[in-house]
Amino acid sequence: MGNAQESEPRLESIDTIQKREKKPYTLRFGIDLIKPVTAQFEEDYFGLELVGDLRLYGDFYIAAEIGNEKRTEQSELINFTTAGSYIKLGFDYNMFKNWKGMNNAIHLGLRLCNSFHTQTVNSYETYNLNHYWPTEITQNGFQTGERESLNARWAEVVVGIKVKLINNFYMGFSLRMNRLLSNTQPNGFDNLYIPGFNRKTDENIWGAGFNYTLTYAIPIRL
Amino acid sequence: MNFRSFFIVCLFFLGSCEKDDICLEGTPATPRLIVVFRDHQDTAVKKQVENLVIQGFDQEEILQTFTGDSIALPLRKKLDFSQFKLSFNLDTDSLITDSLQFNYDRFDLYINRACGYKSNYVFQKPSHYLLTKSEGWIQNIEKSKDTISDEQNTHLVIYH
Repeated sequence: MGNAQESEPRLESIDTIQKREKKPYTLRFGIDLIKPVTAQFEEDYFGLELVGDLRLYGDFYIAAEIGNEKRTEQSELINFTTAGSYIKLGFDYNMFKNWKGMNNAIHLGLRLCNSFHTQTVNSYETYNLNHYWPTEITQNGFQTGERESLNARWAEVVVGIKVKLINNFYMGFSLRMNRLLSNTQPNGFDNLYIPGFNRKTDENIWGAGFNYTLTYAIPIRL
Repeated sequence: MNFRSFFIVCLFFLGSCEKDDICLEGTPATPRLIVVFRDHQDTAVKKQVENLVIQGFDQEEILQTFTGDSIALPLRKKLDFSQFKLSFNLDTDSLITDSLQFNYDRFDLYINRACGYKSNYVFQKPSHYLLTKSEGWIQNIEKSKDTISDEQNTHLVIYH
């Protein structure tokens, strides 16, 4: 009995030492590589996304993305331009058990996102079953032009990996499933594309996206 | 555990695809002008036209050779009027022709991504001109609807 009482405090103190091996807060920031690359190859696209996360404690990270996109699409019969910015805020949870010294991640996360954008109908061809008269593309009319002050809100489930390259550089890839929560309906048009959310389909609130990031990490010791 | 959840999310991505780019058959398109032919002596009675040759102005091809008591005429998108030549080929070489002009304002409505926009029309005042005076076969024309928004209603009646 006496022996056990003596050894108990010693065990506790060993535990405390292990817990105190505290990881520094890590601020990591960078860019999505897909958007600038796409912008190089597609004439009608501009996009930029800044990404960042901050490890708070354990495997929890606060994560955010902010971006801007301008994109012109020739849909079936409509040519339209979507332009605007978005912000995504949420957290990531790292499920990958790193060996000591490693800092890779397989993470699962959630974001709440908001976009502020405009939709511009550049031109369209009306839907006709009869083609006796020559087809006409409307470029100036009642329904062409810009719809401004639009916004959309959605939630994203994020699954991704992050791999340490060299020093404090990380390469990451993430897949996102989006669920639209609300969006302002443009007059006489629809949000066929939402910056950050990507393509919105008719009668479906689900969307998808991905990014491919290069980030740099700074350890912060407090 | 990690890879299973990853897999489940991947399945969601596959499930979110849908045939969104096909305009479904039966979606109301831009309506045509529905014209009904009636007897000018007894205005309540529909009167058939036989082998009426319908051709748009400036068009090489005829729209159709028509027999029946009601017809759908497509309207021109570019301008706010459409002109048609309606001719009967008589037994001899002579033609009886009437030329008509329909006047309207066009406004477009959004349907969806795949179908885009459709046009509706509102008749202007006057809704029509009979471009050929006296020698034709048409006795009178009457507008029966102010707007052309579907093909279920009669928009115009021609008495002959």
